[in-house]
Amino acid sequence: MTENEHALHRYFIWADRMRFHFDQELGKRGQSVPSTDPLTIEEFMYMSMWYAQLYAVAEGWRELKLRDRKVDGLLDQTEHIELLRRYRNGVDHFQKDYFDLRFTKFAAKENSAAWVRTLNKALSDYFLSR
Amino acid sequence: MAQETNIAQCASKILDVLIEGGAVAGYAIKVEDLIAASELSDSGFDRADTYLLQAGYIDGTMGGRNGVRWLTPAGVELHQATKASHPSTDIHATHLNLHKSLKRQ
Repeated sequence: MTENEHALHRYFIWADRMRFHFDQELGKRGQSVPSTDPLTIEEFMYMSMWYAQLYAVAEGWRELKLRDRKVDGLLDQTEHIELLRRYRNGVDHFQKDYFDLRFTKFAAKENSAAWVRTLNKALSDYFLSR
Repeated sequence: MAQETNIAQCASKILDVLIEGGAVAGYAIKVEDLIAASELSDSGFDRADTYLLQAGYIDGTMGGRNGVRWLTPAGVELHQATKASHPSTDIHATHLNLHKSLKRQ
């Protein structure tokens, strides 16, 4: 692993730790979440920190011009990565609207949950292989 | 039993049941039926019930589980305002459920 990759790996660890905590919160839920149930503050917090941090990893990945067939394939899905960028902006820059569209559009995007998990796993596999 | 995160969520479930049951003055719902339909624990129900009564969002009679509850006009307005101010609730719930199913794989 190069020094730059090592630096990027730190950001990934931060993201993945947030994913871990988010999954722990999900485990506290029953079988399914009723459509009228808002996210708990912990669910929203860990999910948002995970998403924002994962976008930072994607940014670093591109800046370092790293290559991996699976990761690159996922980052090439422009609609998902653009919505994730806007989500990150919603997290890191104050929004007056509690349910700003930056937060809801990514969640509403088809396959966004699968995409973000697959990207997280692909990055994990990449760093483990280095 | 449903997950009870805070008193607001418990109160929201009670209001949901009362609204769906059309429980206004003259059409009250028995407390026992309200607890069953809201799927709340006794303690979760008691706290939220006390809050809703004290705040004037619901009214009712004494008698424990044999008492009855109905919505006040303020309660109906609160329910409407709560649902209207959280348009993304169902989006996020769906997103969470997708994560739950993916996490199990």
